Amino acid sequence: MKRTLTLLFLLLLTLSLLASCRTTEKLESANDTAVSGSQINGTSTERQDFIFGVYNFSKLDPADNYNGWGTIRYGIGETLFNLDEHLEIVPVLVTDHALSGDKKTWTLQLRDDVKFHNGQGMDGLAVKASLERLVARHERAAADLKIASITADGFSVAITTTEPNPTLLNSLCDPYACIIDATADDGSVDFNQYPVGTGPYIVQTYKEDVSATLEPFADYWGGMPASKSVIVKSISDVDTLALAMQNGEIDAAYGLSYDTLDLFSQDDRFKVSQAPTTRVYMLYFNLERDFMADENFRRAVCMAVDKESYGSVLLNGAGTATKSAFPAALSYGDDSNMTAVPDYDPEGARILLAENGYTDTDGDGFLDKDGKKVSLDIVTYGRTGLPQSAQALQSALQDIGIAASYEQFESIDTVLKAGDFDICAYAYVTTPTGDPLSYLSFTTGTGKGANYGKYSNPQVDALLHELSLEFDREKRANLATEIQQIVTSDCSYSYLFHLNMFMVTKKGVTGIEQSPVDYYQITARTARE
Amino acid sequence: MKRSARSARIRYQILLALTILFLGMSILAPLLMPNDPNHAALADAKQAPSAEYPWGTDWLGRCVFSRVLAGAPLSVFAALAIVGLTLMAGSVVGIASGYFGGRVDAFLMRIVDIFLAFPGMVLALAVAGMLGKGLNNAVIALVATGWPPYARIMRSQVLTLKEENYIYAAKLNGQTTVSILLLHILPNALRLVIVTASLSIGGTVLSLAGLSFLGLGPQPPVAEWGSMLADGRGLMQQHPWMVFYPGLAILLTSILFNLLGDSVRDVLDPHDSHHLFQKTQRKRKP
Repeated sequence: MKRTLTLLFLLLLTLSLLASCRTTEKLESANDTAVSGSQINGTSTERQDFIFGVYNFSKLDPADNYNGWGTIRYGIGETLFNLDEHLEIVPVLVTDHALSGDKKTWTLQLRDDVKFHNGQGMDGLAVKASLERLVARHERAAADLKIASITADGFSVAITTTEPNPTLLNSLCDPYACIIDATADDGSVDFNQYPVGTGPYIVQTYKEDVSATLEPFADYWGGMPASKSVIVKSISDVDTLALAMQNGEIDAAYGLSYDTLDLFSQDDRFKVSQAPTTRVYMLYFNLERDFMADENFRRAVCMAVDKESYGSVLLNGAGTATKSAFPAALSYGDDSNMTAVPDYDPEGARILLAENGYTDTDGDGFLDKDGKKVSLDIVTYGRTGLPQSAQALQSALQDIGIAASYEQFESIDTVLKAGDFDICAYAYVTTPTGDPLSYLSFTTGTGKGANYGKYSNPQVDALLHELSLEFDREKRANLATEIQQIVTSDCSYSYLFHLNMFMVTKKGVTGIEQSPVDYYQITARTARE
Repeated sequence: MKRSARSARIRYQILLALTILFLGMSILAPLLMPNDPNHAALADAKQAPSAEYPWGTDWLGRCVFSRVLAGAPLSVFAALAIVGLTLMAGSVVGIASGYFGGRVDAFLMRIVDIFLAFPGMVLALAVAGMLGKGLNNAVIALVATGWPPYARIMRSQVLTLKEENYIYAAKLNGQTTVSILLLHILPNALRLVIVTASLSIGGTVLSLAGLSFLGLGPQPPVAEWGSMLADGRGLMQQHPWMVFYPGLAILLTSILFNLLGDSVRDVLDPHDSHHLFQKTQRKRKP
């Protein structure tokens, strides 16, 4: 009796499971007919939802740290100027611009047809308020822009700087300078979730670390956006992201691991777009640590690094080995000027170490000097390619007799600021706004925010100051080259390779591709068939 | 009945011999490696299995076979250490709780309750996350979260044992509490705990691999099966050998220890020698 009951129960269970399968099937086929129905009716222009999977889902207040990257990337906000693929400045929300005779005042003529998401028109006063909100909250922006005062008159804005600022327009391309309606930030909405910008898409719902649903902005000055809606999905695990792309869950993916490059380029369901970017993979050397303070030791470390293989093997060919912080396409990124940077030569590194008193006296297989064992802490964070590079470095150092530990951190900046490292593998966008000044100053200037290795050289500081005042492009390039020559002459910095970034989309997706400028992704044209 | 007891014993002996062989191999593994497990040759990266690299190479050009071998002593002996330590910690708490009773018992058991209220792996993750990365911390995390079941079992054993006549006799003889606990209670209570422990070795191998898969175990370049899986995960579709062999090693190890645990129970479990119980149990089987 008991047995029959159990059997009956099991049977019921199976049936109910099967039944639920059938209902979902029905639903799916119903959807299919709906889709094909619309195609039959000839409405192939029917707008679709667009799902974009990203590994580094961002908050959205441009005046908060690097969150402006999200605002620009997801098509929510725009900057006054954009950079084209050659990193040249092109006007976007501006029709005309002029520099005054004393080189301190820029006058910008704004488009008169631009509206914010809340329906307010974007005029001179709105731009003034947006920029004033930015410099009040954003240290890096304030330092870059050097704004003394802004005056607005109708659709024209005059920006006066404290000193001649040759990179003002470049800095206005930085995502932090995304124009938002500052008057809407009255405490009723959180701009990190619902910023009021001028872009083709409006944030409808924002779920922190999960997703953002964006609706098209009907009054967009560039015309009606092409997608019915855009869903930006956070998939922070890159392997999960690859799987989501493979099984068609998302229409485009950004931040995929380089291991998957072959996988997608060989599959004709997908389109891979690649672009060389100005992101450099570099090594910070902590110059205040025992061994790293020794120039010859640093040189030996540099000689142990097989940059070519890092680019071709670790990044599946997406890395181009470099001696300079800037890509070869830029005049100040010419490797042939960096004569003091050593080539890969592990044998030479061993000899150099031996010549400078690094020997293995206790026979443990690792070097020591003056009774102290050489031991380095290599740190890095999760950006694709960095853990691989750092571990390859660890192994390469072991080969020349240097013991090194490796650790990967979630928030590397805390570790770097505390100075608890010898070598840090770091990825840095060196010309985010088409100009070398910001990067060079931030990483090599004495006491600057990203100068984690505590490099200090009065000559470099003087050149940086000169660079900050120079308007002539050729002279700027020469100064940038000279600064790099100095900081690499004693191996205080080491640049490994430049990155080709890539984005994978489904076949039939248009209007989104990897840009050399890493913060242009979703535009008004982004759509799938 | 006799026959099944004998076959259980034979099975136990075979599995024990296999396990000892396996442990011996784990110790000797580093001597059997064809290549240096930590030597990275980028030129040889992502190679398919060949004569030089029997199980292929990983993303950094390291020999997968050598790394699996190098990981063996670490994975296996760390798991054994964890089980040993949890057994000891749990037993001490359980004996104290059961033997002294009263407030001590109530206090200790509430702590056990708290620990048992959380899923083991989640708690281990939290502890390991707080302590930081590294093999030692992973071991501590798993010990800190694994002891409560042992305390429970030990306590229930002690509760029944302490009412036995020979314990009263020992007390009357004037033996100290410590010697009663060590000489009379512990040896008799240990059986069931050892059965539980031997059954949990396989699971512990998996938990440890799980922690290091999540990056909380030994740090690179140390070869550990779990972290090898994590490393090879992204390349699984193109270069399956990077995850296949470490996965196989984990699988075989946990199966071996689970089978051993099973047969240890068959041999040691007091219930099995109880004829009546076994008979009814047999009948129930279809």
